[in-house]
Amino acid sequence: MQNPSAPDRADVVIVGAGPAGAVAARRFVEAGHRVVCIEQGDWPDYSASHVADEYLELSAAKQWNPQPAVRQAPSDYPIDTSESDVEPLIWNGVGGSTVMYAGIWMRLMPSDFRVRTLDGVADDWPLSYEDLSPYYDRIEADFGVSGYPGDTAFPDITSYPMKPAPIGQGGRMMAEAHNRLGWHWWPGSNAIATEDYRNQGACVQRGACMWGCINKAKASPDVTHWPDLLKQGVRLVTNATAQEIETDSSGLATAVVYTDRDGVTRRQEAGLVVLAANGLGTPRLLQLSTSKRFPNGLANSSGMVGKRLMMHPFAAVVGVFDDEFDPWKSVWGQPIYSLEFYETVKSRGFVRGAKWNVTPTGGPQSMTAAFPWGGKPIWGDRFHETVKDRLGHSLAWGIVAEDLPEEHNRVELDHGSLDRAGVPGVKMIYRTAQNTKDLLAFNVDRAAESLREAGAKETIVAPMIRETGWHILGTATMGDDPGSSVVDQWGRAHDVPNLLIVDGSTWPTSSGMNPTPTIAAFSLRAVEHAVQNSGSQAVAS
Amino acid sequence: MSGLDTSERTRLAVVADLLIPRSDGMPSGSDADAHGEYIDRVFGVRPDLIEAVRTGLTEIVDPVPATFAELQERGLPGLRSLADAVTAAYFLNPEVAALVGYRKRSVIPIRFDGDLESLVAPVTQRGAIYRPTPSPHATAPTP
Repeated sequence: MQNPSAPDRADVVIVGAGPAGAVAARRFVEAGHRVVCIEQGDWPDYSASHVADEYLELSAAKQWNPQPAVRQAPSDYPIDTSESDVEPLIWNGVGGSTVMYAGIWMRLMPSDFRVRTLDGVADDWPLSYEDLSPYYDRIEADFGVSGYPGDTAFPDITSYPMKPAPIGQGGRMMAEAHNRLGWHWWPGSNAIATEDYRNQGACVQRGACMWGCINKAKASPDVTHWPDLLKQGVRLVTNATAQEIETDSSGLATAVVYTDRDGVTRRQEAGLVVLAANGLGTPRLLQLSTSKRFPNGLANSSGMVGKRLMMHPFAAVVGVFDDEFDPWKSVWGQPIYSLEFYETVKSRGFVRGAKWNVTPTGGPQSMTAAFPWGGKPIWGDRFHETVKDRLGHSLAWGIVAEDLPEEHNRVELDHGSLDRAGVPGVKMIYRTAQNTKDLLAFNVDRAAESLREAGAKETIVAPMIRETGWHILGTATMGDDPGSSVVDQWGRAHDVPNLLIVDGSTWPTSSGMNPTPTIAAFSLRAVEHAVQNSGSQAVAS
Repeated sequence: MSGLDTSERTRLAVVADLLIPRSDGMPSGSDADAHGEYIDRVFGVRPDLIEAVRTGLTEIVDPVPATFAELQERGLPGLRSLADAVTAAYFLNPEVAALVGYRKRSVIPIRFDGDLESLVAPVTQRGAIYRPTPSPHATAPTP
């Protein structure tokens, strides 16, 4: 059976039910539009969560692992990483990769939008912090964020929906160390409810946010958005693999072609097409959507689709202490963070910087893991001594490094490997730049200094970890010039007037922050603009 | 895929003791029945590990090394997965978990910190640390 049309033509069809897609769906349906969302995966199965039993760490290494190559779920498409320094971490399903994120919630800083003007590298964004700030406020209410207002690293964070989670003994230790050093730190902001809030339950501090939060304290759109959206009439099609965006003779997008859970190829027609499939899935679909009019893929007259891939190389420095502080009895998220070394200081020999957050080291099985302990096996004679030293006596600074856009870092179709629907997978080509390596080396040294000030008797560096590609950005870049960018500041494709791209693929630069808040705020701003200008919006007939 | 047979379990017990010897008041891998009930419980949650363990055991040809260091020197590709599975089995034994002071994750209601204002005071006293959005007419510096 080929190409039967889905039952109803929609006003808007969205590809991807993660944060960008869910935010878009909410705003469109609130404005009275008929919305259909095509989602590659299924709902997360929290009944298969092991956060409340002794199998947590075992399941975290497989069923709840964020690396698709490890998980090997039916909804995951092939990703060739043989030419990438970093493995992508994504989850395909309702809620998107936030189902497996830690819930760390960081806005970008004003300088992140003006990298060219301030630091002479890469590109400015076509919008500013001030343009996005009101949307951050709205998104933080929707995602049930807890935090402590007033951080001096931002111009205007005056409130959060909920009080911050306890910073814990480890967070307090590091906070006091930074106070002695005169370095910035702040209580963690997290998309983790610290009280019952809308669809979210209050966090119960199992320290297992990434492996199936059964209390639904962590904000992921399968909790915060989709139950309400379904009641509001949004039609969510799960286990549906988008294959192509069709266009008409005038170059407008007319439908998303997808394969449903039974293997039947269908078309969802709509006036407006919205892509929210992340920094891999979005360029993949654009590259798959070739036609006589768009021989190099849809929205790709600039040639930039798939290019400028940014991955946020990540390092960790662990401190081992004599003090005991049960780090698994807390929120995971980020108890505290530091932006002391975020802004550019030219004398350091590199531009841009990194964000740090305290992160727990986990339970007993984690004490033997390659990450963050550096990969040296501990079995044999030193096994018990090493476990005793580390377990309950360690914490880490996680370091998120900004990497700058480079055209040779890219995503391409991989016609040699097909997903369950017969659609080609992707290949990532990603090499870490020297600026990023220098930036990480500097920050690793400072993090070790911080831990020693806090009393660490030993510090262990995981200098750059391959399996940490949480943040996949930049592959359908935003800009004012159609010759060098894919979308404008409202997410509208320069080449296809009724195609919006609202995910992290639009980012001109990566910042050094966890991106979900900005992805969500950008999506809301883009859709708000589309709603406000619907009278003049070109749509397929 | 069925579980391990008797001979495989016997071999696993030997390897478990190389990985986790008896010392410092802690039981060895086989003392903790990592090769018995607890490896089966591992497989119950992670059936994908049965083949990994079996392969790892097959790679260890006789004579079995006397120490983990000697085992490691052989550079066996399946050793890491085998070691991870044995370690998981070992810590599933509740007596072992108790000895290292670990309990499964329990419900701990939130108790908010009451002293954050004073704790962040040194930070706030230093003032803003961000670079504000420059004016639209600012010129880019030389990289």
